[in-house]
Amino acid sequence: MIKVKRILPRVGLFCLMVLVGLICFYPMVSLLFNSVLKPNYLPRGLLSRISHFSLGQYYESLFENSKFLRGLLNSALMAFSITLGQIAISIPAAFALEKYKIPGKEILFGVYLILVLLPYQVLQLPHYLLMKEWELMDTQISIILPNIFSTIGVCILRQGMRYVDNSVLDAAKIDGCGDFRLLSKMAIPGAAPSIVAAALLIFLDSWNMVEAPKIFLTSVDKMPISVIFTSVSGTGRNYAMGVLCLIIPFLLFGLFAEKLKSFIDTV
Amino acid sequence: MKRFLSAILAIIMILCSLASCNDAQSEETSAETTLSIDETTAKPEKPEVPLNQTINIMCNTATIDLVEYLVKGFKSTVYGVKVNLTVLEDGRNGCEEKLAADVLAQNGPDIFIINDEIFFNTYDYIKSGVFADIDELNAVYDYLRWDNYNQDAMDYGIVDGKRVIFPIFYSFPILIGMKEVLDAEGIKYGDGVTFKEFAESCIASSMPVFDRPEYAYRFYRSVGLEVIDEKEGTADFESQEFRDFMECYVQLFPNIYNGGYNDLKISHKGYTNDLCGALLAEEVLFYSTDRYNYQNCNLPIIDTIITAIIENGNTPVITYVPTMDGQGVAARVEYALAINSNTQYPEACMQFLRYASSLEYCADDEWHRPLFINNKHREAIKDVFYGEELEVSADYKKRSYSFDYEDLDEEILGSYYSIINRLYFPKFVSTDPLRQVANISWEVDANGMSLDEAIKKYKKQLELFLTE
Amino acid sequence: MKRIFIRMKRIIPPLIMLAPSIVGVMILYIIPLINNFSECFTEGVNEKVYVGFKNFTDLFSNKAFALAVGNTLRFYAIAIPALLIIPLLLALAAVRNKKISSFCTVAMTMPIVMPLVSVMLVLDSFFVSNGFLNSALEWLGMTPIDTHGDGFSFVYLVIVFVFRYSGYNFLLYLAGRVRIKKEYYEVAALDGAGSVRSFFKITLPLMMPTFFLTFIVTIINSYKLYREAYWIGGDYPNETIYMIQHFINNNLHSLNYHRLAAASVLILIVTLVIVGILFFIQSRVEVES
Repeated sequence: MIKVKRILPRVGLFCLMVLVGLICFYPMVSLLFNSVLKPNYLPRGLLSRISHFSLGQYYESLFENSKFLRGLLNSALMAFSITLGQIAISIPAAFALEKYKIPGKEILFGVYLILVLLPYQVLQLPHYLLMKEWELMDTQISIILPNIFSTIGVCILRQGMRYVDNSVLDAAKIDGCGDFRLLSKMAIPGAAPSIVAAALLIFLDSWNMVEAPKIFLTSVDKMPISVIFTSVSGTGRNYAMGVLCLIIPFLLFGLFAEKLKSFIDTV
Repeated sequence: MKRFLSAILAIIMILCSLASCNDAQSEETSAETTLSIDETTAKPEKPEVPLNQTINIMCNTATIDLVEYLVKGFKSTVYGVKVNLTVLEDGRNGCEEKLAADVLAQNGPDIFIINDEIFFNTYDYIKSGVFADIDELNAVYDYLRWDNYNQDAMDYGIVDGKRVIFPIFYSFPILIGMKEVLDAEGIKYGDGVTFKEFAESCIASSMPVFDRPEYAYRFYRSVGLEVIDEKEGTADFESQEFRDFMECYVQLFPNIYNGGYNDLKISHKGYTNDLCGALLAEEVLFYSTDRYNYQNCNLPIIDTIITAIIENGNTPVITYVPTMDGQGVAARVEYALAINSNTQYPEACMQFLRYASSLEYCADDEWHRPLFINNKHREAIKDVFYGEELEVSADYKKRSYSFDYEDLDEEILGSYYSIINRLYFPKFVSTDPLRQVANISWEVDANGMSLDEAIKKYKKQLELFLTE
Repeated sequence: MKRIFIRMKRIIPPLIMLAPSIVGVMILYIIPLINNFSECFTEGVNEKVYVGFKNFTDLFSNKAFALAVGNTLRFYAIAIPALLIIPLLLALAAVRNKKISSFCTVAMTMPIVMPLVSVMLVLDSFFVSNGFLNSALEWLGMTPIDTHGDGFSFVYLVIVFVFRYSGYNFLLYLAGRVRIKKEYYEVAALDGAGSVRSFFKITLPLMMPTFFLTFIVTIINSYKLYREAYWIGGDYPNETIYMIQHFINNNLHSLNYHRLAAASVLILIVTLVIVGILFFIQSRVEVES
């Protein structure tokens, strides 16, 4: 009886994980299977797939079409700059908002929340006018700059900073620790899971962004892959390209999964 | 592990940068050759008029052939005007997002290109006053001579009382077949035959009628239907006329939306002596500055067919898809231009319009090969604006077809002229509402819905669209 | 006097920390928005005509807007709880075990990372009329589902939403859950509390900030859902999935920026009310714990 009680939740957990894995990995596995077929070939049935095995799609995507690689590079550049910039700006701001008594901080946070909840179409025209005035149209900076100051980072990190113990901070302050030192030595390590989660989310958002590049960029060699994916891939090639698009985020996740794992250790 | 992953990430980034560097070089060189052609094709005789004006035009990859050719020709003919052509190459169907963002920020292009593949919601722009009134501009700059144009075609551009659209060229489908076969199969054609009679006789016959599919929204324009009123925001889908049209359409062109052509009704490509089908060939008409209409056709088809029919000893028949009431031949405007009311250089824009409808553009167009109605016309070309004989290049003479319609039988020639003389231009309607018409046939074809249900569903959807 | 000076001196470091963010937000967001705020009250693209509150009153009598709002509310009522609860359960299950949690992190973020085209192609092939799902149903002897019909589009959209955007919430929940120290649970277990009770007494209150955050992130993601909805239905989809995002986007393409701005203001007010209520609940629950 005791054994069943112990095994049942474990079996249940296992089944749940299998289900989650199936649902979440099915698109990628399907992509993988279709990507090792000959280009421009519609898959029909298992046997014909085996006979049409070829890496032609990958070859075509990588070597015959430089627009694809350039699109990937643009995506990566923009996503990385936006993520790093936003995190760098949001960490001090969130720390200051949460742990210090600044007059009007709740109102400020309220304004940040409003900005986060606005649909992008409302912001599109003001940003367009601003970028036209600064003569930054058709550059990638016109997209990176507004997104660095997007307020979602502050909102996420502020909630993360709530978890940093006030008592520990007060003790350090009494010991004579300066504010910036507090930030770097106590707050950042303390809120590290939130920072990692926020960085991943912001990266994913920027990787997938579609509307802003369409409006601010006109030349194809500056477009990220999320926008030009359909035009760059023919009907026969988009499987392999889909797989290749996944590599950079995948690697990023690989790096950060380690970090998250180390947090789970303490639970 | 961490170092390994970081190393892979770094390698990928380096590879991407290298790949994009190579591409940048080749793109630069190609850009130089295609768009900045002022220096290389300048004719040295004409004096340089320092106007210092700039026109911005936007198009996408679907329309780039036409627009690039137009711009190239314009730059080599008119001096002092710089044309910036932006080509959107990121796989969008139309330019609507970028165009809307630009226009809202008062940064829109100076000339809009109006075509089914690039511009879907033209009426919204007209309603918002984005297009300039061409009559007013012409009163100031006087570049366009109205009596040189086909008045009915130009009146198409008058929407809500203002002339805002300037059609460049239009098309209508014509049908060519053997008289004996058409009579034997009982196909009704010609004067006074309504669309319904024509379509039903085609459906009832066993003979192939159209040789390629025609999508519903284009066919709607070809039969001159006018059930959608964008200004009032209504669509009379439930009228008998529209019902007749849809019933005939789904039977004439079944399976278009299901991915296949209709085997019964679509004939084989090309023409053989054994095949007696009536074939669909499209004719594209330019109206030009000259009084003589130029016609560009899918010439190999018409030429070969008529010659082959005659050689076979049969009588060729040239007929058309009739309008709903059988009183005319409805023409579809394929390309049109419009001027931005915010433009800083209206004079340059008017010059562009004049060039796009001019003899020089039509005559030297390697994309459309001109054909004259008869040889007498060809000899009598005069360039109306410069008052002198246009230098017709040897290349041009070689390219133009020497098919002399005067050799044809009176009856055939008469039927051909009767088409030209009865062109009717239905009222302007933008592409977006017409998509609901296409959706109706899609639902019936691909999803098996009944026609009544589909009509009801898309009438609701169209009204949603028009009242948004 | 000295006390004020000391207080001001203490406030300087936090202000320096806040400065880049505030300066950037002011220049890039707030000032442009204020400049364009007048667009709510004007009409016309080239010459702006002041019309007062006409844009707002027009909206109330606009059938398309009413349909969009109704559909959006219905969608939120179903999709937001789904997107709040499912990742939560997964996060709680995953947090016990290192391997499972890293597996889940990668798995849940797969759908977000994939390009839209690939995900939608795969889902389409699964759900389309003669696709995998219908074939399976036929094989089991049940009637196949009409995937283009009215009812199914809505369900399909909900499925796509939950599939694509659970990863965000999962990550946030994981980050929040990880902060709760093991000792709390051990103490509760000693006191004899089962897992359900410890969930309600420990996890829920301590994760309130995270709930607040995931709610906001879910609303933001629902705006992004426009891309998937566009893939399924185009500009003017089935009546059941015509939502406020379609309304706003179509008005942008039709150059009705004023109607768009007015609609956004209305939506913002409603969203703020809801968020305000949540904020209030959050602070109450925190005080209690």
